Amino acid sequence: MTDRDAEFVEFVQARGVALRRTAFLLCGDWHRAEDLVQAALIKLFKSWHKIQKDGSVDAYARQVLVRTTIDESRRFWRRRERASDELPEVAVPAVSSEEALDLRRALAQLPARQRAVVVLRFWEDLSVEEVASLLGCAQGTVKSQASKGLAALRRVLADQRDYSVLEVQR
Amino acid sequence: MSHEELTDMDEYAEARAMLGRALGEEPTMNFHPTSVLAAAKRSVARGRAWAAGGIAAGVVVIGIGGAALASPFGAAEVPPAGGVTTTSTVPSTITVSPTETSRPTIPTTPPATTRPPVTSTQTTTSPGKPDPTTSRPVPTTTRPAPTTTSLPATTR
Repeated sequence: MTDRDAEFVEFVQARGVALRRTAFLLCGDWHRAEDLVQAALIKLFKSWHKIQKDGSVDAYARQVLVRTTIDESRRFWRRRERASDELPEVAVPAVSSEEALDLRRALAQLPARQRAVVVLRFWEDLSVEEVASLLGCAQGTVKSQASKGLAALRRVLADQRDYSVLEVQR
Repeated sequence: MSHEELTDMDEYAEARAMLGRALGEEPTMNFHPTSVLAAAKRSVARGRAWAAGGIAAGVVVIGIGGAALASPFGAAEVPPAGGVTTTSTVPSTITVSPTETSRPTIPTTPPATTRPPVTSTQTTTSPGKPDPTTSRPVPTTTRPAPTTTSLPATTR
């Protein structure tokens, strides 16, 4: 194994879990999140030398992941599930909390770009400038998209809570 | 700390907490770093193979095109462009005769051939009268009417 391979494996071990969480928040499916992370890491490996010279491997990996997710969400033929002969080694927990499911549904209702702004701004803890440069848009756009996305999340959650309260009362 | 900053922090913390709760129970990682590395290497090799194939195809196309421009394929077997007309006898007569016959007819008709007969008829019809009109053939040639006037002179 060369030095480049060793460094790459080390990076995947260190940042793979965090990247998968971000990918999950962006797409809402753990298996698809893994596929997206792998695709992003393969793209990262292709330009590993160039990125290491710049010294911003983490930022580049995040950028590739977000763009891959947005590109895939735009595809006409995107596949949410892949048929395979073998079952996955570890199954996704079937029962999640009700609130988590509501939050995932609320996130899924946001447009892909708005969801990316919300995740990068509030989950990845990036500044407005960093999000703007990553997504290639103006800082004002990031601010407005973040506030709109958050408001939409609150609204959807409030509606779902009202609905669940009504269901309980019945 | 201002009120706006506090509200921003509250909003930020609320959003982060919401996203954290959305993760829920997280499954274990299903892929291994070495498998990702192997997939990445395969992808790189595939890309290089495509690039090499594209370059080879381009070189072949350029080579064939250059060879075709430099020396056309089967050039020795193809007859020259003008060879067919020179060997046959028919084209020589066709090409020569129209140019010679067409050219003399156009300039010779007006002046030389028409005037002498007109003057000769006038001299024969009126020998006794050396009129000044005989010296001038111009009105007789230009107008067809003088030929009709010469007929009464013969009847006399």
